[in-house]
Amino acid sequence: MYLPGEFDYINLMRLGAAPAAAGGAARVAVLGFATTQYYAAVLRGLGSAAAFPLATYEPEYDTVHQTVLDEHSPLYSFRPDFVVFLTAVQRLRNVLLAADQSDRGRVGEREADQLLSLVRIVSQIPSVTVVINEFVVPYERPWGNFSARVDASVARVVRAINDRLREAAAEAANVYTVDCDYIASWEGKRAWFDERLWFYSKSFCHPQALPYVAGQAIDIFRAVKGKGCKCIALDLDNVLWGGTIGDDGIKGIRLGELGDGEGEAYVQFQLWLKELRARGIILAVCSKNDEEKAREPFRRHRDMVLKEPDISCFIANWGDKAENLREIARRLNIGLDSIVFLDDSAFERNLVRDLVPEACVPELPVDPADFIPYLESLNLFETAQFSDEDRKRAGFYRANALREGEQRKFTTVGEYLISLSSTAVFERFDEYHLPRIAQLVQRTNQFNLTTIRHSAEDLRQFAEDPTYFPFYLTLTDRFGDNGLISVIIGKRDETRLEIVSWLMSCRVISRRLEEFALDQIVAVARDSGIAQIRGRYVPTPKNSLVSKHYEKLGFRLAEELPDGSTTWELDVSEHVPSDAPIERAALQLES
Amino acid sequence: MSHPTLRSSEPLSSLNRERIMASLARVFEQVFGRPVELTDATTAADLEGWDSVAQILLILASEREFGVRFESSELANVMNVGAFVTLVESKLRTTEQA
Repeated sequence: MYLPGEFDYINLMRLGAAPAAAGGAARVAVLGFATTQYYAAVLRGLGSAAAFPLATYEPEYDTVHQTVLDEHSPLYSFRPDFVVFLTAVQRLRNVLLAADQSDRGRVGEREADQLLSLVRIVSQIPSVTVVINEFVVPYERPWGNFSARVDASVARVVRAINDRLREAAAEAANVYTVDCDYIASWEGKRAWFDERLWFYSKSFCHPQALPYVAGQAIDIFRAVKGKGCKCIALDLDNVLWGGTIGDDGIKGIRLGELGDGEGEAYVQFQLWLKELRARGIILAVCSKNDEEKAREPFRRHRDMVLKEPDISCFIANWGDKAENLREIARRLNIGLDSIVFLDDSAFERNLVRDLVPEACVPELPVDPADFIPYLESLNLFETAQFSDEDRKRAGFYRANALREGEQRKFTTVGEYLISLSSTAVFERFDEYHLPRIAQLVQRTNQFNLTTIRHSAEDLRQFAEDPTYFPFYLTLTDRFGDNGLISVIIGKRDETRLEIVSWLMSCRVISRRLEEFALDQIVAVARDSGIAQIRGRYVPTPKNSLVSKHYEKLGFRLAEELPDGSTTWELDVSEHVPSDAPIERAALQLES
Repeated sequence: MSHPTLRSSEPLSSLNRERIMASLARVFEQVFGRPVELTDATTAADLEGWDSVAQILLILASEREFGVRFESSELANVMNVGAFVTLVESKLRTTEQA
């Protein structure tokens, strides 16, 4: 976990002065219409604080156009993973001021066109992600409050350019923008703008704002790499309500009207959590309480915003919280590094920090009215994509926790699986599912045979290339729809189908879906006159789960390399169809 | 991170060049990440890493340390320690008189 606001910019720059360790660092090109050194140093410093080491390339001052347009420039040999466009409204404002007032709209359009044409070129670099700093709306208001209504005002034109940047980002799979005006207004534009530093050293902001603005880029980088918070594990007493439910009882806790201003603050916090849930963040409870007492407010208190169905996993007992957090991760089938733990007790926070160092454990302010502003300042829930699947996800996880409970009623797992009446869709990639496919490819670490992070663009091309066999799977059972949960990409030559990628969400592990999938692949191979299927396992620190994947499916070992990676083969004629209790369903596009 | 500063309640008379120099040494240490020996005669040329980027950081960190503000015309004029101290001294005196 890293908290940009807790670093001093001078210390960060010193931290960033040391070059990143050679291997493993992500490469970032910083293209600036302003001085880049301060920003790049803070970015590297934050990267090392966030255990996300970064190596940077910065072209000479004010050479962005030349660098991008020259295909032999060092930008391209640097092979950046990320490109950041550092804009400066101070430069833009002078371009606009030089234009006649009646002409400003047109000049603004031209500036946006120019910037976006550079973005378009850079976004073609293989597997690159582009981040554009939006323009901060300037503080000058020649018409006073009336300025926002005047077409010729610089502020109005700047806002229109920002809209263009956002639209362009929405249309491209690998372009993102940073809402710099939000960042600047958070601390205040008086702190952001330091005209002395613009005039003397072409700094686009006071360096004290750099940890915040550079932190946003790192948040986006991390989200693109599939790192991020998926779940909030909540303490109850003095987090969702004031007081102790076990001692004070349902009439005594401070919540809503009964708690004066403090009670209102807890209601607002619950509304904030509910909104996060609606966008796909999973809510869990991790409380030291008797379970029945802990559930009572969710069932009976009229001012509770959160109800039992909003909580995907509810753990209330007297065990230690580190162990309970691990249990939550197990039940929801998510990594501990994707959990944010919120607790008002410093003791519990420190215990979890010590015993579960992967989890994100922010401080929590004493006053519940400060919870939301503090947590917002951490930007914990950055995302690179937002799909319909995200909206449903919290529901998927709840259904999963119900399935776990159901499992205990059956004597064998086999009986249980049959009782689920599962159906699966197995289809070639299509346009509608590509965003979720891309997301799964970026995020899946454990059940991932080769961990190749195909870019959204590559995935689109596989869909159209007849030598590729790119498939996705969805899984539905009587508890609900699990959504799109597996991706398998094959590439054929004359006689063989090579499985380039095989990955699956851990939410649907142990459901025999992989056996079902292999049956489908073999059928496709047979229909296409392919005699053999080949698969590879490439070990990573996280995917030992699938080291025996191909062996279990009846493939034979063809090759083992010193790095531990293995190659496996299966003759199509040899394959015995599985009896996995999953029915193939027809594709139904949502209306 | 925060050092005791001269801002507090020190009367003007007790502010002298040695005390400003001692605080300035802390500012240099923060910017360069190592203890730095400073004298009136030390210039940017004598100190490894004292380039234009470090220069701005020294000014901003001094503003924070002493509670003063440098003007645009002064940003380039403090490339040696003696001048730095003199400038801070005069700013503190002006602040006190105001």
